[in-house]
Amino acid sequence: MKTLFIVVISLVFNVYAEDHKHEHHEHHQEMASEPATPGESLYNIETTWTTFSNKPFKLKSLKGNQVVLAMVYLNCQYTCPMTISHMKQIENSISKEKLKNTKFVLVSFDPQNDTPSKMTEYKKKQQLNDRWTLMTSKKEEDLRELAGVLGVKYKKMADGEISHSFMITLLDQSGIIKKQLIGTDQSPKEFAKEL
Amino acid sequence: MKVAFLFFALLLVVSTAYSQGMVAIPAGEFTPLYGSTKGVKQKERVESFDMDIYPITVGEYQSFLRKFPQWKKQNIKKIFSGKDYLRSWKGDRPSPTIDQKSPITEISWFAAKAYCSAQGKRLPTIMEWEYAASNDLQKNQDMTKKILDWYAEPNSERLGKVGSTFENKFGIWDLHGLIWEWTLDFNSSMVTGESRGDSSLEKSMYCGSGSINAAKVDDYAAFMRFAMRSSLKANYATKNLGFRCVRSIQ
Repeated sequence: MKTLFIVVISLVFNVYAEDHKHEHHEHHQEMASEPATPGESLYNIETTWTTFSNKPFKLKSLKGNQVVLAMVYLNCQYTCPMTISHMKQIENSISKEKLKNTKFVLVSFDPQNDTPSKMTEYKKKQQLNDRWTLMTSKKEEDLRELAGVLGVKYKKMADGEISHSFMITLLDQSGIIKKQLIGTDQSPKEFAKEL
Repeated sequence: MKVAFLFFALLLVVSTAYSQGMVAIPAGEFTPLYGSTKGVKQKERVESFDMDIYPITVGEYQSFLRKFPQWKKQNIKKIFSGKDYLRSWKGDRPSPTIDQKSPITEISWFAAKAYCSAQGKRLPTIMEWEYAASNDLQKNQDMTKKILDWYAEPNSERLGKVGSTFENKFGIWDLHGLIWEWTLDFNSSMVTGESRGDSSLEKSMYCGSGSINAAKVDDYAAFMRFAMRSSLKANYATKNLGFRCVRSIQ
């Protein structure tokens, strides 16, 4: 009985110690991050995303590119096809020279449905080239954090639809928000002039 | 022996939660303010979770800052907070008039999230928070009045200590009457069924049709909380907005 008690106690301590180990680990990682990232940059977000090709992905790996980014979900009937068509129009409106350093990123709110294979299928169907990346995270906190930084609101509805803000964001080469296209009545061609 | 094992297993679960100042909120169903779809009241099921008994205090937040200096006022990344972050603090220290046991406020959503995550916890969802708080309101007009009276009061200059308002049926303190609290998905409030543009956001909440969609039109206090959340941005920090953490029970 006494042994059992000790086992229980040591279990409790183990859990505690594990927690602390984790904290210290994170702490060092933070300290080691490159100092070059400006405070306003989205590249301060540490989330590891999962891409359409099922690879881990950090936003800061986009550093040095102009990035056109939107949060979407692939089952979406209304605004998402429009978001993507707007982004394609932006892509078609800029020079080949600029395109070399431009990336297009779609982040899905819906990790349950938008699995890597679903994202790959969508990318093919929509004929999105190599400049385009699709990704998501299974942690709602990560999605909410990105949405929080962008100012995007979203809510899962009972019928499975996700109601969300219509917003396309342009990041400069250091990951700072340069311009946002908000609502469907703004022109993607005008927006493309910022790139 | 088997009984003893079960007992200790239970003790382990209870004690780990309790030692971290949490209580278990049992799973259940409730009708949230915006639980209705096309006029049909919809019950929402909330799974069981552990919730902090008290909001996070100034003292607790200070110890967090010692371990995670990147969240100190002078170090925080601009993207994670506006200029009002820990506004009343002088560098590393809260203003001397602030009690260590008063709830931490003037913190952004990002900071609250980071704090909970460092404890192996997370922020509660709106549904979890409202469910934990809903228990106080059912058939309790006095309570509703108290809450509304508090909402109507101007901000007091100094916040009281945690544990100074009241304890609800679950054993949770200060859900009402001390501060407003961040939720994980605060940025899901007030979105219409269709999102053809941000101009349409929030329309259904305030126009007549929106009120009809609300499941409990008499719950003004919940209306006010939803309205407050919808006005927030993740980098806001204000004097009366704090937080507490939760943890899912596996």
